[in-house]
Amino acid sequence: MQESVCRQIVTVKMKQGLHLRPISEIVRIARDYTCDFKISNGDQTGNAKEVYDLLELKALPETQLVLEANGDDASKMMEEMVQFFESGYKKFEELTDLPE
Amino acid sequence: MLVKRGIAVSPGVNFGPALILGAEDFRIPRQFVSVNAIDTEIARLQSALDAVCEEIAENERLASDKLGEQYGAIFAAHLQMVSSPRLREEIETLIREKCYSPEHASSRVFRRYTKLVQHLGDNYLAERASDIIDLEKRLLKQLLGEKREELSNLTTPIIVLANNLTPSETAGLAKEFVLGFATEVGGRTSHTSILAGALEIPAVVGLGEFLSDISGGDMVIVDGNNGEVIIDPDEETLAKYKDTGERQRSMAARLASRRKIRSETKDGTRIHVMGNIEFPNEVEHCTERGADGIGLYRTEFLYLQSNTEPTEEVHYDAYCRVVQAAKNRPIVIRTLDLGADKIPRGYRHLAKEGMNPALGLRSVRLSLRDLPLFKTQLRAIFRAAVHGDVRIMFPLISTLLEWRQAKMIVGDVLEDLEERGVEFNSNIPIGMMVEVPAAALLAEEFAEEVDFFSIGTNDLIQYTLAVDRSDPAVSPLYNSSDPSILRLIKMIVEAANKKNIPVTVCGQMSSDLKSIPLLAGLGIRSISATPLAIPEVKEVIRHLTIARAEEIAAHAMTIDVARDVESYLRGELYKICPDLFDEEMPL
Repeated sequence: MQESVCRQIVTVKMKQGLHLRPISEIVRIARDYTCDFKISNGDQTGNAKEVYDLLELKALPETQLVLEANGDDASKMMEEMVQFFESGYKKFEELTDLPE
Repeated sequence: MLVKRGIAVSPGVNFGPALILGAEDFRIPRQFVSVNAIDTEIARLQSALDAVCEEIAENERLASDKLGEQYGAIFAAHLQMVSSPRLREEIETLIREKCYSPEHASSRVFRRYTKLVQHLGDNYLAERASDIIDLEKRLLKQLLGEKREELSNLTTPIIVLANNLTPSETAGLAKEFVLGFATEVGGRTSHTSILAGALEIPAVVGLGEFLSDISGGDMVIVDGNNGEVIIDPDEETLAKYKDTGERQRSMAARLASRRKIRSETKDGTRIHVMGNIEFPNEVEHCTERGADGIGLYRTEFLYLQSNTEPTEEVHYDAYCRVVQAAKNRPIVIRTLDLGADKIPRGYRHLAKEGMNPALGLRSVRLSLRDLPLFKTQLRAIFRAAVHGDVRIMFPLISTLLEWRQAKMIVGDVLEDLEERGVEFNSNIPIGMMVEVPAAALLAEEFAEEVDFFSIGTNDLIQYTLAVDRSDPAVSPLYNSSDPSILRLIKMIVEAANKKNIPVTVCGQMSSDLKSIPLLAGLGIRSISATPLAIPEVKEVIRHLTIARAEEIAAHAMTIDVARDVESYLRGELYKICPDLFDEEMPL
């Protein structure tokens, strides 16, 4: 195992911005790994394992976010997270509200 | 302390702990816990959070099985939100550091997140705020357990706060414990306003978003006189309001003792003061305050209170109750005054979305379009008229042709009743609301054909000044003192006098004390006000001479700006009856 720090910049492509369901998926991914994972929108930085931190990022569509992973499995986690921001989010776009 | 401004819809001042309807379906019983109970309270919080997690996990399983995995994912998100360490820490901190009860602390923390989500830009996360509100509800339910106090079973007085109040929500409240209402949306004609008015509870609506600034159990003042809601007031403010409340009660008691004195000017001119009502039980609110009759009985609630259209018997029963309670005093029944979108069936499809409803198919226009609906109401009125002094009034008449059509339908209805052989009274006055500028301009022509006029100032102002007063961006333009309104009223009164028909003023202006001398001076001899305002309106009339009122009206007519007319009228009212005012009350 190698210790590492990686940084990447991604763009929020979700039509609704970073809303609850994609946030929930990010938290789910983050919690699968042991490393620290931070996401920043300008001055605001949040822990990717914490729902409320991500809500506070107020990431609207087209926002640029800085991802930063720090720990044993950092590069693997970064890869999965970047993939989510690239295209993985799409299945959360299709979902509408619960049927009555 | 936070002061929010809205639209005052039901006068009076009250204060008490907040109950946020929708977020809490029950009252949060207490705000603080004792220092030595803190650890127990935190343990209680933890087990409540655990229980909510279990509940959500169960829902997730159910949703995934029955609806598919992607729906289960919604609950997965909820689960993360409740199991979040940050959430627990924040609630714990409030309990430890501020000695808040877990209920109050949870409500505060969730409320902050709700607010955060609501403020995340247009069309963005805002709609998801309801998810967080739902979580708050679940947690409160767990925390309160058996101690939960249902809304229908309250034991302590509260102030009800809501985004909006539906009739069914209001019906679920134990009314003797409701001290006041305040809502984020709504205008003067919203359900909340109508109900608060009928219950005579102070109310303010149209406050804009404020529920996320407040937690259940916070102290709130509802100032239904000035349209303000004060959250978490400082001691000085609270003391001031306690004082105002007491003075108002003593003033009301003083005026109540004079209720039997006729409303007559100092120089002996009789000016009838009647009441505006929505519900039959409000007739008493009017008569016990010395009203001369019911000048406006709004019948919309008959259509709104159930999902089916009211039958002739439902109408008839309600009208008979009003007639009975009024004990031979005159009653003016206004036929349906609603938009097509508000009634249960029929012409809903004609109420096209995106069109301007105030200029659309509503009121008498709808009645003339949906004849079965109109005839049902008319039949009931003519039948109820057997038992007392009943009069009919059509709202929103704009053209003579409309008036004649309505009269023709009346003819048909009378023939039907004749054929059916039921008891009815066909010999009753039929008049119209003058609330469209077109009708005011043709008042002389109308006066040839109608039995009476009733000036509906609310709509007359809205249509004349082209302003929707529920829209905060333009509501300052809405002003009953506008010179254009004064001129229209003068025209209508002159037309009525020329043709010798009675004219009443209903609408908000007739409950606005500063307008009373003006209206009397313009020749109005009949006023219909909200029941609460009746004693004060009578008091103003008893302090007035017609000569003085005519001077005031004549001078007001020379002023060219609404604001100046308004301050002139306020000043004159103060001179006429200074004892109606508190020294501290802003004029």
